[in-house]
Amino acid sequence: MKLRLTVTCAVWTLLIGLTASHAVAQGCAMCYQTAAASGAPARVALRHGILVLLLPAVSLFVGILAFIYRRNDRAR
Amino acid sequence: MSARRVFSTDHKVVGLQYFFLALAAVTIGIVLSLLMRFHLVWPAAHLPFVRGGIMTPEQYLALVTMHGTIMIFFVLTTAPQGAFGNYFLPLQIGAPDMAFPRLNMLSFWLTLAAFLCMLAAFTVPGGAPISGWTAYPPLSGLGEVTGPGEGTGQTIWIIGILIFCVASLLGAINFIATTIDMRAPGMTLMRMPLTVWAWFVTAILSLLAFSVLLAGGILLLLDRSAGTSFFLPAGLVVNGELQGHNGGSPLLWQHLFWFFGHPEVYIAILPGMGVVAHVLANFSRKPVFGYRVMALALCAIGFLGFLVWGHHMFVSGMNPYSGLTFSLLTISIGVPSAIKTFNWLGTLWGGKIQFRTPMLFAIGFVSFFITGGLSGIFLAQPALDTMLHATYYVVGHFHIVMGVAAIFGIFAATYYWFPKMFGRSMDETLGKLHFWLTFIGVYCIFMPMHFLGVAGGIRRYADSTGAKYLAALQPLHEFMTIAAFITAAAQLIFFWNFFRSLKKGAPASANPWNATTLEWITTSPPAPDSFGGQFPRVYRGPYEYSVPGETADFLPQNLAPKGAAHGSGAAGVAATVGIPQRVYLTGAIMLLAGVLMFFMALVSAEIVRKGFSSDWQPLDLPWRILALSTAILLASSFTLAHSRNRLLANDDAGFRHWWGVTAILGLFFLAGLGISWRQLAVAGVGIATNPSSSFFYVFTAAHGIHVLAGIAVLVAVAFRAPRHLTRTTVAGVVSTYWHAINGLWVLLFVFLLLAK
Repeated sequence: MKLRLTVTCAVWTLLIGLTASHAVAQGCAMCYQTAAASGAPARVALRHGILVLLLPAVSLFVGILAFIYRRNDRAR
Repeated sequence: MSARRVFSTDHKVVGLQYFFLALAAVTIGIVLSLLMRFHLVWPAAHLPFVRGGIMTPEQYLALVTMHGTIMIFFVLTTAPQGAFGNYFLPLQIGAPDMAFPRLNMLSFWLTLAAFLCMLAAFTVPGGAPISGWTAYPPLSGLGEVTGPGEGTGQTIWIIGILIFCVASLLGAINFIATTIDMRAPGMTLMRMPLTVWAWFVTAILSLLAFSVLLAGGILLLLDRSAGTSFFLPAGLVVNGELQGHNGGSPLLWQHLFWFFGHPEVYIAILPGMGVVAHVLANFSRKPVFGYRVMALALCAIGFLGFLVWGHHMFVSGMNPYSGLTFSLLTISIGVPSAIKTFNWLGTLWGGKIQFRTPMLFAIGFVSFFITGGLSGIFLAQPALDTMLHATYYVVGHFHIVMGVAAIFGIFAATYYWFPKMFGRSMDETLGKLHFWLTFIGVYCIFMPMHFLGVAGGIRRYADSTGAKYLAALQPLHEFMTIAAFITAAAQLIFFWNFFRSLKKGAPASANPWNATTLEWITTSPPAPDSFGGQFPRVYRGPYEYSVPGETADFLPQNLAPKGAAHGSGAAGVAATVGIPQRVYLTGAIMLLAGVLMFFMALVSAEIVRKGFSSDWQPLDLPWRILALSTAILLASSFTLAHSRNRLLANDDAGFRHWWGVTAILGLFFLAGLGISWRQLAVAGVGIATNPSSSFFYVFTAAHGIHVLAGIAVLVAVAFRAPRHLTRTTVAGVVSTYWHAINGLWVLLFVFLLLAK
């Protein structure tokens, strides 16, 4: 039963994923168009710049949550 | 009122100070919005307090800018987190105070300084800035040549934002450290009220987002004052005058600003979500439906908030698989938001609902959140967004979902916690009248904006009466303006109720709402030490209402279960209470997280700026002196580690000796940076010479300030150890900071080498 549920969820996730490439959700049309109108080197730089900012941010976010989770035992 | 009380470090006093600051800010913000609405309907009308009588388009834009800035920064960011978070976070987790009370006080006074700085922009020649709350360059970067308000007014605005960033960062460090390390015994993560979860996640977002805005703001200020060209492109001609900037990109500002802007939406709304869940459970006499999922949803919204930003501009020319991943992750932020909405409704379902004023405002919040969420779906479609982006549709959408929903969360919190804060109750009849007038009034103001936007009504225009295609919609503007004045008048009922109740409200008991969380086990208002020396021990979850088999309708969190050591029905009391030493290390780590994000913003800015420009020239840096400085700094890490070892070996003289050597090596490093600056200056390379030199000066100055701060702490500790800290703790905290800052320099050094 559990396996069936997992497989069903996985299939649905895959199906949604395969159809999601056209869904530009919450993308700001103005920013997108400005970025898209830039030259190829600029777009590459923007992508790298985004990753440089994004990866530490999400890592720190997860890290701080992990930090409080580890300290949870002390509250018991 | 004594100076001791004004400059109090008590979290409750600081919370109230934030509250009254937000109250003053929202009053000013509303007045500014009424002026705008009046002008939109009667653009030729003479206004007695407007310079020149009739409002000019520039004055209108100044109102737009200042209304947005004041409301977003000093109301939506300050009230839910600074006011209620400061007052109730320690109470709800059973802590005596915030982790760093002095830092807390400093946060408030810096916020006040930022607010006064912002208001001062109205008084300088040219008036307040006109570039909007997003301060997009080139308008915000060129100075007064671009219009009134863009001179001193814009500079003051940026300085105010920078001060606000620092205040928010200090506040965020305090909130995170307090939540992690100051919880009462038994207050496990899954026993924390959802308000605490919301303040905690909001603090993480603030820590990471305001660091980046701080970096962006500094670069913008340098563009204005030092002649650099981070955001200002070449060849700009304004009023027939060629501007002397080269190769910068306004897109870089969008890149940095929206890294802050996206999480800011959640910074404003998350505390409201926490309060709403809290209030709905209380007045439904039911546990929060799906508490665990609600807590996880708060974390998920915070996490995905950053990815939404990444998606903002990421799509162009990228690998399609990355696009798919980002699209999926971005869409998925709707999942936790929907979970929260369904769980709020689930909490109401089958409950014994009491329609008290806080409950009405909480339900109003849910209503606005759903309405704003539904109108947001249309903006998520690029084809529609392109058309609607610059119209009133967007104004209506974000005011409902971010502004009014968050404000209703603040109202719910105010009515709910007023008895606890002031020991008196607000008038229920007036409260309900206030709710209904505001609820109906807000829909009357902002729903028509959607229709106006669909019809093509352009936002930010000071006067649209000349546009023939909008003539038929002018009555809609008039309707919205009348609704705005009535809704603003309804707020006078709130003010009357609030200030009258401070003096003449019915005295409130300790727990007037029969609530379960820890703030209600102490007196109203709480004793100076919050719990009157009886610090609680926690045994239960935060929302144990109508528990089957129990005679009482609610079970406070500190109520010992049957068969517990304290005996059935006894209130649990913690044995000892104090500030744990580990909280200082936690605070230092959070500070370093903020510092890391600040420097990552600069690194990211350099990458983007380099990619966008054609004027990038490799810089011939004084590598020898920089390498020598790096070696000295690395050596100082070893001497500090040795000093700490001496302390652990109880060798006080050795500890002091190596501690001092570390400080001296730090000074040598700074001297090395100074020499490298000097060599560059002699070679004719200044901060504005080219973009690579601009970034070099910014990097080294920013890092030098952090080293200087480290040296100051080293020297201060050598002469006088802080009162509450053991020496081992001090050595541990300072070492963590120093090693991290040194490691950061090594990374920067490598980055500068690679950039070369």
